[in-house]
Amino acid sequence: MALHNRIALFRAERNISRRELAEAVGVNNQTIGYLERGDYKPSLELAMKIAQHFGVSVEMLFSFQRFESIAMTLKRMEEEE
Amino acid sequence: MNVSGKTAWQKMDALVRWSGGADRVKRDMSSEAETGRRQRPMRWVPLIPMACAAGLVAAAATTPLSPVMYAAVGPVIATMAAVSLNGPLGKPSIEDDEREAALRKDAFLFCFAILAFANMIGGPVLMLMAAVNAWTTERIAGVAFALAIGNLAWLGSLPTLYASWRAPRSWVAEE
Repeated sequence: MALHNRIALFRAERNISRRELAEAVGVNNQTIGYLERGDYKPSLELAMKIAQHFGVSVEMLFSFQRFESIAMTLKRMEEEE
Repeated sequence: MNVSGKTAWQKMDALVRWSGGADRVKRDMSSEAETGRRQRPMRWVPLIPMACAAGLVAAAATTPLSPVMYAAVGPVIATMAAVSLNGPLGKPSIEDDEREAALRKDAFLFCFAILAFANMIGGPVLMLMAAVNAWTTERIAGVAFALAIGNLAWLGSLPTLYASWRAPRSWVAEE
């Protein structure tokens, strides 16, 4: 089962480089690239470390369902308002 | 102490310093150790030492080889070492994170399974060939040496080959 994530999105939003995130969670910066591309599924420990680094819950970062695109989220928020 | 004024241990220390190994260890263990060392996937190069090693074993099993042929396998071992060091598994395992540790484990498990199967089949076949063809002791020793070289070459190259093919095709240089 595919595991989708929003690590790249959160990293861009917080202006954090892969190297900085890798050092913060104790992995090789290539591993962050593998995670972002969906080429590697992290352990629960690593997933929680990344979520903790961004200050969000694991479900905000990882999901078995595709995450909604930013455009769709904005559109939905406009409609809700 | 001998006539040169140096003990055997001092001579060995000097030899290590001369080889550059001492400097390499000092550099790697320092707090300023280079962390940007990068191992690249090697999808085809590991096949060279593996093919040479398989060829040597096959040749040794089918015809008596001269000692020169066995001496010629030196470059094969050198290639295997270069492949092993520069491939995805080339860095010290103590530096592995969880992804790299899992990849290393899978690669060596795959390699050991293949080697175990090959040796299970090849061992009895060679014993039968030795019995049927009444090989001399020298011939058996030659085949045993070729097998040792073959196993060594495959052990050094096959995990690298596996890890390289496990790397995604979209592999790009990270920042």
